[in-house]
Amino acid sequence: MENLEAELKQLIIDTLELEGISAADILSEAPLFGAGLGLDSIDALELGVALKKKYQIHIDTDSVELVSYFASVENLAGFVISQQKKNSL
Amino acid sequence: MDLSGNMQCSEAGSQAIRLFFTLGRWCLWQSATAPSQGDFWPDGEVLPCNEGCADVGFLPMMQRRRLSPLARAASAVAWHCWRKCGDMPAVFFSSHGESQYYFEMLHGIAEREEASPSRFSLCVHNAIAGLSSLHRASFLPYVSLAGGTEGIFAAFLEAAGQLLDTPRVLVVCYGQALPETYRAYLATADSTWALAMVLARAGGPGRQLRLVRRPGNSQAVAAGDGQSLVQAILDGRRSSPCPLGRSLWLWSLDDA
Repeated sequence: MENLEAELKQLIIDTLELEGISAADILSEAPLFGAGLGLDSIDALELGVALKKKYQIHIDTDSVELVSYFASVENLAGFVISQQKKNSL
Repeated sequence: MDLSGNMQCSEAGSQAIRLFFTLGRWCLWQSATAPSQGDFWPDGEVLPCNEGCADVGFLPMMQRRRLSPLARAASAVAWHCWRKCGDMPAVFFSSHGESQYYFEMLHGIAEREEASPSRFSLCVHNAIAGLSSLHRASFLPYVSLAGGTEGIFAAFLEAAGQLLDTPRVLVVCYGQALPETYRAYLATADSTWALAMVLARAGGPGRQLRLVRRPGNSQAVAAGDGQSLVQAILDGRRSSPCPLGRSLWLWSLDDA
């Protein structure tokens, strides 16, 4: 889980071109959007595309839980693991 | 016909359109290195080449991170004029906009790749104007014009119209080299460039910029018009003709 969180932090930095920010600056439980890291709706879409490409996972954009999946790195890691488990069934 | 002193058209059967402005301030940037000491036009500045990438360090990281090289160039020249002259309505002009981005995106779609949402949003022609408005937290109107038969002079036509309602308007023109695939069909700039000008109604304090459009019949296409104006500013040339197919534009900058 920790390795995946570190990987996701780097993916966020690289994908969203967060110049001058390192993985250590992003707390796993801190909000990614709004008052947290300050990401916006375009970032969420961009991140979704990157996650699908890197982890071969399906993201249901109609899901009411989507906002909570993307709320923090911690939640995102849990979401990726759950989707990978679904893929392996 | 006289429209508030900024524009005259259909004069005495000559079919000429004359646009008169007071040039308040200008700022330009180009990716090719500018001469360090030139007899530039007065009342303006040439921003440093910065190794071919316009400096937008005046913006917070979250605002500058998505800017393309073209958006950085346009944002930089617009910002420097606004900083000197204050906020005002704006006319943005680019013949082909973010051609590098939309060509890459179209190529990716053809390869069945998923398009980048942020790239897609930035390909919209008025995206750079919108971002620039956000940069200065402005609520003033702006328009974003694409290429046409009048080249960058379309921006001056629009500015003359806007000056009927507002005392000053910022014109921001910008361009870049087209992707290789398009070059067989269209003439293109050979570097990235951006030029901003603060224009006021004719007869104000400052130098007078006069443009005359006459019917033309040359084979020239509207591509090098922006860069030729940039080069004239750098060379300190105060007048020039610019043939654009169905029109011939003549412009001059006078001291009084």
